[in-house]
Amino acid sequence: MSTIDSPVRDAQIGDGIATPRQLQGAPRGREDWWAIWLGLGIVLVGAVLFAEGASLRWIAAVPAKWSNAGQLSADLAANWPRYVALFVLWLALFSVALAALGQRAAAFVPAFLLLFVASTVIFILGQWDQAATYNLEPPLVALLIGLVVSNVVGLPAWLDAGFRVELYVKTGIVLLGATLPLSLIIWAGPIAILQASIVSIVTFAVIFLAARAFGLDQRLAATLGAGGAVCGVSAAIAVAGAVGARKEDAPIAITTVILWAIVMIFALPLASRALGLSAGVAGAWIGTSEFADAAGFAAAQAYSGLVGKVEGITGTPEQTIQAFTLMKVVGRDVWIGIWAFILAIVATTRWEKTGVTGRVDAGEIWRRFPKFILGFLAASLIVSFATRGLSLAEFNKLAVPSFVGPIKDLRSWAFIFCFLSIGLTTRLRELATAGFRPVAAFSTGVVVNVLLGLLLSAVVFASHWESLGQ
Amino acid sequence: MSVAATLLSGLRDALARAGGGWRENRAGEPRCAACAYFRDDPAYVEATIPGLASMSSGHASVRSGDGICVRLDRYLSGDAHCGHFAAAAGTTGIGCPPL
Repeated sequence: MSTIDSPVRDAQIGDGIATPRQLQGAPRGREDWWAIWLGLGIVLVGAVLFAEGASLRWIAAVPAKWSNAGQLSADLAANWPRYVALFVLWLALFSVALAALGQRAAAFVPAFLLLFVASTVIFILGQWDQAATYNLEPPLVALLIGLVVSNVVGLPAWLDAGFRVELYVKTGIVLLGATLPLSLIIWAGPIAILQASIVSIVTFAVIFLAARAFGLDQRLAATLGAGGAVCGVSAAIAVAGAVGARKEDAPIAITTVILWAIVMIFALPLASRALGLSAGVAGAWIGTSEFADAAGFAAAQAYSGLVGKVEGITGTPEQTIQAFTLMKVVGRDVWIGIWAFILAIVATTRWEKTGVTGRVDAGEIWRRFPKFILGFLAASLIVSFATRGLSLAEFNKLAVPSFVGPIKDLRSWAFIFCFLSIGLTTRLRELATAGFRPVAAFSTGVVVNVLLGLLLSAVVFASHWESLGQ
Repeated sequence: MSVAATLLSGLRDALARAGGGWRENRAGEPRCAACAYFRDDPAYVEATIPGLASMSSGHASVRSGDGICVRLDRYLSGDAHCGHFAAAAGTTGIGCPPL
């Protein structure tokens, strides 16, 4: 029995009055803060070890490149203790966080073991020297395997305890901060914010107006619009709460966002490849036109895997990730509190009354702020501080292999856990039925978003994204 | 008048019109978060809203103190209030929320 049984059963009975706080233990802290503690903890340990002339390298095991079974088996035979240690490390870290959030460790341990083993296999597959030839990019493979397993084969629901998409992606984003120089964030951030703001406002307006033209309720229209314009499912649920949407509005918006996000995970890298976009431009486009952070990282990481392997794609693999992160995290995610605040005011003052009075104050902006972004910035700051005084050559010679490199590898693990978890938790038959009108309204916004995002990324700001980090 | 000034002016007007409601709530109206009809447990919210855990989370900061009102069938801020309030056991429902 999962920890959710009691409240769900209570709701299904529909008796109305209950004492919810007596039915389950209160979670301690928010997932965002736990991702910060986990990510920054790793970065700080790495910084201390680096200062002492040591490194996280041993435990940050990753499969080596291989071209035949002999090389692969030799690598695994030599390094299996490192993989075991890595599993124990991740298990310990995530167990602490999830226990604090109210998850039972008894369910998490076997689920995470399954996730880790599957992620290792996917990681190994991605290191095959023919992987790019067959489009076996780990993010896409992880997502596909997850979708097939959850929708065709099926897994027990209790295993979901180990498939915590958001905890993994947020931890990965905090670790990503350690690999993104603070100077780059300061230099490229304003353009990212400008481009993201243009696209977000236009996309929201198109979806909202299309939804209203289709006769949808204002609150559903706003929930759909935020889902397409800001940060996908997270924005949809934030705005649904801020405007007091009907109970069924959020599931409708979430279904629509998820379906389009999955399509875009495959479509955006394919289209970028077909258009021959450089690494930075493709990252910016994906950051502008993918809907959820987790889905966007899957698409960006997939494209970064093609850089240097596919003819015509210029730039560096890291440019795709960096441009995506700047656009999505810095350019779009940070504004969710402001969107919620403004829409709450509009809902309170202009829209049809629902019998519920909301409290609207500027504190809403901070309460809904995706706090993990603070960890992302702090990680960048820590690395900048820990490597101060190093020239670029010294940084590449000393800090990259023993400090930043291992953190980057741990980040790769966190993202693979996330990508696989997306597939394993997306059960299409369980999603709410969205209906034609919400899907049509959202799709109208998608078309505008994709074209405008491409125009801004590949034409208007192309030189900016192509030279990112150079 | 600049665009920014126009927006700020509009925001001030909107807040002034909304003022009665939220000030009254802060002053002592019972909050949804303390109502027996209100369900904000992350696991419950994830189970009730399909797909939420696939690309977001019931534990995310962006959700703030939102939850589901099982009486009105709405997804609401925990700081909202209405005329159907029924105090959950051990609460008065009055007061400002913890940040």
